[in-house]
Amino acid sequence: MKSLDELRKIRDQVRQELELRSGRYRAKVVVCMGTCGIAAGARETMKALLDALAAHQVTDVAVVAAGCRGFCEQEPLVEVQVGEAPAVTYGHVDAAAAARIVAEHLVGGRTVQDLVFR
Amino acid sequence: MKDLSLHLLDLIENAAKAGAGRVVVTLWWEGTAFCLEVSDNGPGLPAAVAAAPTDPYSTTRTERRVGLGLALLQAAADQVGGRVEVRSVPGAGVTVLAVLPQDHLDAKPLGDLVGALVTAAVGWPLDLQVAVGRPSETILDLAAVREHLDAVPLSHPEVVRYLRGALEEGLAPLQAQAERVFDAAAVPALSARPPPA
Repeated sequence: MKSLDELRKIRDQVRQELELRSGRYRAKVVVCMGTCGIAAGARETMKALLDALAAHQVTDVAVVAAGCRGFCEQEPLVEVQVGEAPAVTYGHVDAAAAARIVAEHLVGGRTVQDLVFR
Repeated sequence: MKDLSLHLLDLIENAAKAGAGRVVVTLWWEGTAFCLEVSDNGPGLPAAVAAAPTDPYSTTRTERRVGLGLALLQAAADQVGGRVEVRSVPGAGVTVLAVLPQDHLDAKPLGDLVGALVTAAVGWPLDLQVAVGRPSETILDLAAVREHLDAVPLSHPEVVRYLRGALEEGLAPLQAQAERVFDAAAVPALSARPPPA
């Protein structure tokens, strides 16, 4: 198994980052990962989100998975909640759309209107 | 599901949604068959679902009355002469074993196992353990990872990089075997086809 020592260094580094911003994550991204989401490409969506967050050096956003929300035809579905603002749900989020959501919503602060699931 | 790694991700999602806290994924080869086993410590399947777990109309889902995950895995096994076994113990958990011959032209590829396992590790609040081989060797233990990270989320870019590295390293022998099986089975079968007129 890969050495766990590397994780201690990451932990110490991240703790310093957290102290700089009061130990809170400013946003949460939920990727729907039911059978329907997985079949529609949610794994690639999750990877694209994580890659884009890393590329933008965003470390104060938590990314988690959820099950099916019952709108299988809209998968992959992604929900973005920034602070106390109402959550925004995006539909048909492929890798390119995921990159836009990170750049425009999570970094730029603007909802990506043409991707919103209504 | 276009490859086996997506079925694996789906099985882990089933365990997470059932309320399991710990999931053990074991991957190994039996000759030319790729074997994957997902074992959880959740509540087990309701009796009605346990009676026919791969029946799409037998499901624990509440959004819709159809559950396709295990049914699609069974179909993937059937098309290559493999098998799926589901063992459920009420209150103790579920174990799903799939044995999937890969020396068959209809075999689904393994796919992006690293990507599927990173997604599961980051996405679900599970103590996910990944092991390879028989006897198995643990290549990732999220309980130990979390202990070292304290409250740092697994979705942090540096942690994701660590997880990918650990899984790429640990799964490399399995992927290499997949290429050997494909070369030994599919390439001769394809080259035996008559040349186009």
